[in-house]
Amino acid sequence: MIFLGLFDATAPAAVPGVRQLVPILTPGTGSRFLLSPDGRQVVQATQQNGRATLLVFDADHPENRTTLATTNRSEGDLFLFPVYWTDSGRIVYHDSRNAYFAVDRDGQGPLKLLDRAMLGAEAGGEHTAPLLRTARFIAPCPDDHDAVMIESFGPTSSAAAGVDGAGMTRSVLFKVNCFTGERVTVRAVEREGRLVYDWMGRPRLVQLEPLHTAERDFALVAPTEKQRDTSLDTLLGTKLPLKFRCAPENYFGPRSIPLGFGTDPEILYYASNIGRDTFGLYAFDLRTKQRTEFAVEDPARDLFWPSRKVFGNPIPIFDRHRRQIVGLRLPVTTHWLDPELARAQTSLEEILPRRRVLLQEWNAQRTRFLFSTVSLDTPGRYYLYNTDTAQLLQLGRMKPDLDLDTLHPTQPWTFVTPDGTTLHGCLTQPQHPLINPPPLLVMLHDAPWRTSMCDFYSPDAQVLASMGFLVLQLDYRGTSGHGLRHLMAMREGIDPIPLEDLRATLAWLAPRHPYDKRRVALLGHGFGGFLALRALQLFPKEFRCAIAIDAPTDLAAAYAQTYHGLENGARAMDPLIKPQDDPTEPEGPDGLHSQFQTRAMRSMPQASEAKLPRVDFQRSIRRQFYGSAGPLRAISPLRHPETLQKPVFLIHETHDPIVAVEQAKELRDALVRAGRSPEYMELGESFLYGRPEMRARVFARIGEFLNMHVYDYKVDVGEVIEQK
Amino acid sequence: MKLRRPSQTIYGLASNAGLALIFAVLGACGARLAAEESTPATSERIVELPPLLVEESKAPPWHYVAVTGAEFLSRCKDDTTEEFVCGWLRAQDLLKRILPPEFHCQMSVPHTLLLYSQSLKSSVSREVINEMVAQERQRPKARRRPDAIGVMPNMRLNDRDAWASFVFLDEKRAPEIITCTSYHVLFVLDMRTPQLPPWFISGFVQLFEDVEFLRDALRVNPTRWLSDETTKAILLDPDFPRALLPMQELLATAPRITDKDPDWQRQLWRSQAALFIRWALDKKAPQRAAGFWKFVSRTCTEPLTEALFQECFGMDFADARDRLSDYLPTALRQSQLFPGEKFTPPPIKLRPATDSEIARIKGDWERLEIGYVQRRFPALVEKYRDQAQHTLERSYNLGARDPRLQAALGLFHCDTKNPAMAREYLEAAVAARVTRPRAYYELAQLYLREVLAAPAGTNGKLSGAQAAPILELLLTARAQSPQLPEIYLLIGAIWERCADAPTAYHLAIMEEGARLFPRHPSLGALAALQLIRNGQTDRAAALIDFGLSFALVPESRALFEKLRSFLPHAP
Repeated sequence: MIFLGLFDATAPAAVPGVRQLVPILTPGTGSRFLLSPDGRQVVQATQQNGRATLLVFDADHPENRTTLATTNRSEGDLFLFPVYWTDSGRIVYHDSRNAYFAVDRDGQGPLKLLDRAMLGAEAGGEHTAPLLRTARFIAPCPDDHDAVMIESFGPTSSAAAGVDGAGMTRSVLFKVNCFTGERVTVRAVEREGRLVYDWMGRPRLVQLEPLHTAERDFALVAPTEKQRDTSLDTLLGTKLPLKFRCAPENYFGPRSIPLGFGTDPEILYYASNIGRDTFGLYAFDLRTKQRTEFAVEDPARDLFWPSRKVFGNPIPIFDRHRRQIVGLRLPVTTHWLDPELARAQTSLEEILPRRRVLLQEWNAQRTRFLFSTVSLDTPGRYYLYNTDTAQLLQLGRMKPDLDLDTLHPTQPWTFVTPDGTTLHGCLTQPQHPLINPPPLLVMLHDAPWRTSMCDFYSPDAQVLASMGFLVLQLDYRGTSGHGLRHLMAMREGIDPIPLEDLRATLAWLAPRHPYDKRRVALLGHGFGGFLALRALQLFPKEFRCAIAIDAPTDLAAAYAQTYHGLENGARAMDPLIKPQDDPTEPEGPDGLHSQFQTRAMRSMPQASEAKLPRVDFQRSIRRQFYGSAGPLRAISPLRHPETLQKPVFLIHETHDPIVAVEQAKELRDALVRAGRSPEYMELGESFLYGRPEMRARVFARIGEFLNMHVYDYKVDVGEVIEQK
Repeated sequence: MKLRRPSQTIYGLASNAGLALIFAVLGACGARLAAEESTPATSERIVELPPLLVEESKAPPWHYVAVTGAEFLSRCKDDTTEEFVCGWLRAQDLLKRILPPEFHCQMSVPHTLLLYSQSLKSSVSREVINEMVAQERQRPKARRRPDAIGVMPNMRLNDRDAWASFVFLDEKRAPEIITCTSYHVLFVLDMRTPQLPPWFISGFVQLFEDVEFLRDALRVNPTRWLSDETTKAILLDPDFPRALLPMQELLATAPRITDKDPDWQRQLWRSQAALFIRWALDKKAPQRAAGFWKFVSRTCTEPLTEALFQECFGMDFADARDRLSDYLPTALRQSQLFPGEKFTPPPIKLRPATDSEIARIKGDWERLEIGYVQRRFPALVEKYRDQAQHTLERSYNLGARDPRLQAALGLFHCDTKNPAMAREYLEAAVAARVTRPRAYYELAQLYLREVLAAPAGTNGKLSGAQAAPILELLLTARAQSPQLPEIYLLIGAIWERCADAPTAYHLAIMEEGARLFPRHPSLGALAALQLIRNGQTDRAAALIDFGLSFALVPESRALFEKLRSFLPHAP
């Protein structure tokens, strides 16, 4: 009889299958809720099995429900989105083709209010470009309870045709009667940018985004078309230098960003980091050009992110019942101006601890509150809270197909490094580590736009934890959101500073959350992918392998090259600034706006560029941030492929608008020439925002790669012992 | 005639006696506190029984058998009785599959069951049987088992320290499966010490409504959520809106009930507690059950904290609420099986019952009936009282001196407010070291009343010599099961009225009472007060913190806060 010696290695790890990963990676169902003005009824929009449904139910007896509308994906309608419930009982909603409808709460009187053809026609004969026009709900009509204000937006005809005036857009504000469908044009504005409205539905501010100059500015919209708009900086002059205009030089520097108008429409709220490290919230009076007493500041965190768009997502929160601005919707939190709502927010957070509560609607008596929650390790839910009965009614889940028992707990962490740097991040612990202590996987996000992922549920971290990894996310210096010092510190050393933070975090982590120091892997996206490769080059003994996704392998080439496929870098910036599964980021008309706008703009550039080269603002910012090409070239992984001795997996979107896929290919070829066997994968769509099935397949490949190089397949069979 | 409840007696006494500081602090609120916080889960359940009199007759004869934890007095055929006793033991065994024995109450006095054949129509009111059948029919169809007999109770009455059941058996159709009812489970849980948390008692009783006894297993059937309409809606759409309480509210000392639709709120609390237990015991996550039982056990003696919850379940309150919500469709759709272990019934040896046994078991049952009749049919009380007295005394007059019979007689006279007779019988029973905690307690009360009329200590208080024999009786009662809060309260009240200081042993016993019954703030307050007076301030502070963590009503909190102000270095 022959006995083999003991196996020396851990059993091979199981890689979750694509089918297991898809539910984790699938975005929310798109359920949306709307509360009736009296708080007694709720409109719900759902998408299931290729069918979108809009229904209304009684909040106290949800069994009593009426279907208001349905659509089929086969007919091209992906969803229905309720936007407003008029005081007169009409529910206004739109579909994915930007057609707006109204219907009674009992399903009676369905009426189409607007569609794209109407928008094009009514935008004015010479401005007709219906396919490029989108519409968005702006506000209830201040002087007519039966009407709403809807904006039609799109390029002017000449811009769309590429004839002239590239970047010129035409916004038309309609007042639409919800019972008759009658439309009245309130104001038409042609500008090179997007409009910000006040709560009365008046266009007040334009975010200027010229195509041909590397700057952004904000201007007050002139009361009449004959007058000229006034730049905010010009308006305030030297008396109150808030620096609303920004260029690559001060994009990541002291400046101000307008947020929206107050109940008094002459009060403009803004975020600013002038004279301080982090963005705080302030307001000034347009009449006096003086700051008000309003000031909200957090010395540790930016309350507003510079990359946040201000025209898409209304930041001031309008209370329809009291006709007041009651709060400011910030990227992570809400700042309530109304103390009663602030108390309600606190109460709800006590009821659902460790959840971030997003208060969305309430009834006139403020006894019923519609809100959503999200936490670091669970996708969100929607609730209705009744203060009279203390009843918490769960309305729905953002990801109903996800089994919570399969998710892995995530905790935020913060510590001060020996040199005094405060670092933040979060840690996801695998429920079922395959070895003990578990291996560690460090996720390195892109920079400098990427704001901390540690404010949101991260499906990617969940997927990696399901492979048995302790998953570390780290806001290394160079990350937005923690103030200017934290962000700009990276410029002192593009790779040493973040890697110093990474290694300090690993040292801090080890005694607190033990992990297998021999099994530390890196996964980075964008600049984070570059860092992963650099860490492997510089500290090969500390890291086992690296996965670099859409990573610049030659920083100088990546950030210096020009790219001619984008308008203003709009699409390029979107994935960089939009956190995954961020419930604060409306996915409705505004989100769609961005998509349609991008598609629209993508169809335009060739003609206009022939006349005047377009400036890639985003790339200009990167170039400004990272500095001159020489030092960047020196630290680029591509320059020293021979030092990349540990396993590498390069994943790149074929048409990545930021870093050309050639960079990944070149590194792959260089590694092959150096005798290595890098893994390589090209994607037909964005890794971060691609379809869940595609993402699941990529993660499955990542799992196999990690299985091979982190868990050790090698089996030491020991010596053969013969027994009689 | 007005009957009194033992608990009322002690609270009344405590209040009358003054309990110096405590009631000086809050006036007469002590009685209210005790009443308000005494297990709300149970107070809402009332046994609905029709008047019942089992008339005397010679035939057929009564038979008797005793098994572990129970005595049976049967007027059924022997094989029917034997089969029933085996089934009863099997049911007890199966119950332990879903409710571990450590969470059952301990009873020194055996459960008595009177088995009566339905064929003996002449002796039993037909209305009684009709009522029982009607009650069974009220149960949802899904939960009814035509071949099962709900044993506890077919008719059941409880004393503070004992329980008795009257079971009608249809001998023409022998029962195949004996079950335990949710009311039996309620008693088992409610009398357990340390006290179980109210959410657990209510939730488990609610869960038990869905429990089906099979031959070799328990099956927890799919449940119904609040209403048929809601249940159907959730079955059709797992994401259908549903109201669920936050976990901290669910697990609080008592449900938070507002003025609007309080019945619905109570129903939600009970249903969600049942859902929580079902989820925790789900066989698909076996590791969760261990954490759950640990959590239940710890919350009997520790304040509820999210940290404790996290320790036991590996998740916080909000995550648990989400999981319950997600589990709800499963609870409506799926059943769970709790297989029993191999069961070998012990040999059942029936024998003719002695006159003493008949008198004691039947007489004590009739004594318990008096309280029920008093509440429902006061005009009939006298008849029932006479019947009980007749049954109990007939055997005694024939010379039977079984201490349990004497205890039953003593308790009968306590209940019917005849202290002299009660004392005579109870003294005899106690002298024979009867196992009957309430006998000792009632006798202690009788003695205390006497000595309070002539206190021999300083300052108009009792002397140590006066207190000692009463305390001795209470210590004997405490050594038996179940442990009763009134025993500890009387110990505290005696020391409050005694000129001597309590011994360290007695202080420890008072502390023990406070921790066994955390939802009786008077016990904690009395113990803390004595600890303060006797210089045990650290222990007093700990007990005050403990009491505060369980205090529900503002008066209770104020009481403990006032006690805290007596501590040295109090803020």
